[in-house]
Amino acid sequence: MLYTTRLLERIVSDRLGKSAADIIVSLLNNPGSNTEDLSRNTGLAYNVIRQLMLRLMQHGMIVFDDPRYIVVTPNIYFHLFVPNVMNRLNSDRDDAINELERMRWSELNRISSRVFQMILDKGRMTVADVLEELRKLEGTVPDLESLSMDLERLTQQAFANLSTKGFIVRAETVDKGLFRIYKSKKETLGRKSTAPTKRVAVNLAEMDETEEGETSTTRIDPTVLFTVATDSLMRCMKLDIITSMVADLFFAGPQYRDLSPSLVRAILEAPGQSLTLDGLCDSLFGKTVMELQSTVDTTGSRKSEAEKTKDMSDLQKLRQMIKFMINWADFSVIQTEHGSALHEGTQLTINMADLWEHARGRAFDQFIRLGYGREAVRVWRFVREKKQTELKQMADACLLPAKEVSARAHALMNDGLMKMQSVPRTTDHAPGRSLYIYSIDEELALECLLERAAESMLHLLVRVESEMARLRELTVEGSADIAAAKKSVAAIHRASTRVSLALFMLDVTEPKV
Amino acid sequence: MAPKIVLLPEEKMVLEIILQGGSNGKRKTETLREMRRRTKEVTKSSLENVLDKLKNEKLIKEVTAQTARNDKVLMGFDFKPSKELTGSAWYSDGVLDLDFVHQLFDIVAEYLSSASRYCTEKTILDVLQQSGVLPADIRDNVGDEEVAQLMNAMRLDGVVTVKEQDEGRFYSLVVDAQQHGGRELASLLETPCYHCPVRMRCSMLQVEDVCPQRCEYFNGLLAGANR
Repeated sequence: MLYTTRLLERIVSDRLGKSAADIIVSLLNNPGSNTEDLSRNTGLAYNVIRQLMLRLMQHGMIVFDDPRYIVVTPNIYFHLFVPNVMNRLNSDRDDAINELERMRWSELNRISSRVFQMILDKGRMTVADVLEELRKLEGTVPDLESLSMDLERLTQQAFANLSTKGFIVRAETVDKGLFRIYKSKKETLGRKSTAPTKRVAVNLAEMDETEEGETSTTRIDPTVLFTVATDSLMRCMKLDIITSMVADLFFAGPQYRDLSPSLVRAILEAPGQSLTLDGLCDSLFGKTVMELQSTVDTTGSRKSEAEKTKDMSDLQKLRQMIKFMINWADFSVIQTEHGSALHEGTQLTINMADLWEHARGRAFDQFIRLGYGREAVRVWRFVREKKQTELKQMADACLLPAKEVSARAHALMNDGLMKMQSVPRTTDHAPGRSLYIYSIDEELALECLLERAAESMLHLLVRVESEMARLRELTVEGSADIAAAKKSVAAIHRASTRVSLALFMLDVTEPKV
Repeated sequence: MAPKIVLLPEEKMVLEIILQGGSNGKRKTETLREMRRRTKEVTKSSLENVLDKLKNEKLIKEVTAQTARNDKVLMGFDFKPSKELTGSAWYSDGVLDLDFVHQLFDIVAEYLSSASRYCTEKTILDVLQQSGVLPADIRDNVGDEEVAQLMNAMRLDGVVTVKEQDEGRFYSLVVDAQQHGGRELASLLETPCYHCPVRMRCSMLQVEDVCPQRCEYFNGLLAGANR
């Protein structure tokens, strides 16, 4: 996993510095290291390691596996949490931030997205920290000037709203006592720490919980740490992919085209990705099930025939779509408590895990189609279904000549996406009398593709850097080629953003808060 | 009355070996191996002579197998080659007519796009037979099995979806049959690195002549921006 390692090193180096990247590489090569090991492997002084480890833990890039960390034990072993490193590529994407701005929060939009970006950059911040940063920016950023009188109140509300929507969560502080170093083995064995741990106790159970959907007016304790809920961020990115996939798969007809993405989006945006049928109707049509079925409209006056017909048709269409998605052949896209019975209070939950898996499979198939040809997709799908097969079976099932099948299979094998094993029938291992079994190891294929994606991403990042350096030189010289150089930088940057989406699709692990 | 065919013992042995293969036949190499097992006095050229005589006497015939590579398969003259040997009705002389198969795909896809419900294999078979595209020599050989093979290939292509129920298999056209979606991984193919012929020599340290900083394959990406 050479390129994946280099890419992780690069991501951390760009954001947190070369020394932090050295720690990351050391943890990748030696998972489960303590501070002494890290100091020895990286050659960094202990106090530098301590500072960097705290920063990396702030960002959730490093985790440790001792559940009783309040008791200082001699050896706490740290592990790298790769998804939270890789997701730093994705958290710089504009669409994740735009998702916030899409919400109907009026003047809170600007503050909320700015607060979110700050917490993302720093890892963990309190309300007081954010307010301090915002006040520093007041004189320089135009959109904050008009809000300066209400900055504290708006910051509080931004925190409350971000927390309610699940974009940020309360975080525990990092225990600085984790990094005590022990001089001799004698001291480490069975001794409790005598030094007081400098830790701010956060008893989450005592904090008031904000009710769902309500803007909290309770003042948030300015010393409580918050961090970005990375799964919410990733959910934003998955939202667009999944909604367009559902629309493509099920509802391409014109009568469904507008409704299906809204349906999926409405459920996915609900807390816990679960919504009642009543809530869904309200979200899509502005009316509950009862109101849609009623002959009287919301103001109390009788509905016209056209309105009644439209409401009944909308409700029927919605029920049909939901039933279709519940009973889909491959898996239930929408899950309910009571099978396909649909009442007003029926809780509808999107089967996110299977949908995402399906989206990844579809992206993989499309990748094979575009990269290796239409025939290669047939071969790929057949071998994936059968687990192990030979050439004749592939040719029969895919309705392709054996030569064509062999060529496609070998192209996939060359890129590590397929495997072949030869089973000799005779003792002389003659190729003409050996059986060749083709198979696909999906995990290995995913790893190979991830490695290639990391390689492409790394090269793009290096090229962006080189083009930026060229642009700076041209700017200093005052050359006429500046416009072209700017376009080149933008093109490479766009390509790297698209590849970061590919990396996101290929990542099989779930991010951790 | 036709003259009686007189065969030498060696020729009778070869005929017996070939007839043992039944409708699957026997390859020339297998026949030679079997002959050598029985009698050490056989050579390739003597076997060729025997086979020529048997073919002339219309006692055996040669059939091109679907995956026999360069070997022809020999079998009794009156035997009908099995489907495993020659392939289904979509194969002629052991060769798959790809253009013909794609034509069938188009006919089925067109029918399914106009049908408002799921279709069975029998319905699709009727459609193919009524379309007039099936040649006379294979029309009788095309049955449910051949249609199932055709539909399976279309399913693997992502063009149709199948529902298996107790009554049988039901097919319908996939809504996004053009497959416009699912292009999230396609960005890897747009970057020059994925199919780069000199990928193994690429070094970011700029010590080699191949490096991302000066790579000419990136020029295509940049040229697109500056057009």
